Amino acid sequence: MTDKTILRGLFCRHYSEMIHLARTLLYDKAEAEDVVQDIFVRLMESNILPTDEKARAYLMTAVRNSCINRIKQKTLGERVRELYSLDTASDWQQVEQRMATIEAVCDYAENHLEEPHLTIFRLRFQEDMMLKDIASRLDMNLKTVFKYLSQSIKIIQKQFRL
Amino acid sequence: MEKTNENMNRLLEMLDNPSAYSEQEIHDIIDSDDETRQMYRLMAAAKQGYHSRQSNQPEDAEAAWQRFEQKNYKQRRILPRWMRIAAVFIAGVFLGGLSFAAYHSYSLKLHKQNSEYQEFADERMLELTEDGERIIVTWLRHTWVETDNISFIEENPIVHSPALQIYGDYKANIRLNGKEINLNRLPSIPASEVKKIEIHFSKGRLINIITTPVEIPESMYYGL
Repeated sequence: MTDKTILRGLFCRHYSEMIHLARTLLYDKAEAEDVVQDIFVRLMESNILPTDEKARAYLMTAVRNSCINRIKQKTLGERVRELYSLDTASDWQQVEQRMATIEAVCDYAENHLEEPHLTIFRLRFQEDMMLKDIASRLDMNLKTVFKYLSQSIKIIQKQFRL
Repeated sequence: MEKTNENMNRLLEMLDNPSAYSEQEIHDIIDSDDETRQMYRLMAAAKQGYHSRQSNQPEDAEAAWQRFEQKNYKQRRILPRWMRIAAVFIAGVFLGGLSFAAYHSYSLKLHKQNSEYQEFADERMLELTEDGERIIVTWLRHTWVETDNISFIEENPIVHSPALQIYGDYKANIRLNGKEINLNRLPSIPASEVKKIEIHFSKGRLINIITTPVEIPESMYYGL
């Protein structure tokens, strides 16, 4: 079994970044924690640990693959309900670059959308509300909410090609 | 332009109530055209971006390590003996079977040499953990294995335990003595009562594991 001290060092050094990526992809803290723990269980039971210089890339790739595998296990209906990525691992080849892009999408929305577009955008993607619930919360017609959200997406889509 | 608006509306409507659509209909909507696929990716990216922002704070790695240590070093569950035997063979067949064509049928026999051997084996079994989707198995040393076309003594050191993932294409139903069991609520029965374990993989693979006491030939005794 793997040396516990070395494993602990790896865990403490990389945990924050691993859990961040897992939560970004899975949207769920408990599931993200499971992913990270599972990776370390596998390491614990193997005799081979990634070397220092390769550890980060190895662990982040393991997180990415585990998350994508977990998402794949869900039905298509579940995936789209939660707005999970339908991407494959190869779409996430460059993890840092991809993370930078998705954060840039939010930054752009926050800086360029006006009201009520921004509120609707946040309620849909940050608060994860359904459009009919947003309409009810904002006391708007559902079609109006559709219209504002469509406009927001088109504005952002002009800036990003994902 | 009108087509794009129409696709966007269909996509937003579907995302608000995906259970009203079949998988094919969902596919058709998302894959209507490149613009619609891009819209979905952008929406997923927006949600990911907000979650990334929310979770981009320093985490208490030490506390997380304590949880990990508690769960994996201090409180590992011991599975019933029959399940340990089954797990070893599930793993063996699963890993070995990956190189075989799908839809192949196996019949395996697990042979126990005698009670002394059984004790020897038990001492060298690691704890096994299981959750809803996964069994982490430990390889038994010196287990006598017989398949359709090969017989051997498995002597991989136990620390090289493979992890068996039962999910996706390899999701399995397991029947013990003809009765389906729930992996989350394992029955506790002595190994001597295990007559037959059947593992039906979702893609059609069928594995039978039959426990039958036999004598191992003397020539195979090395290391025992």
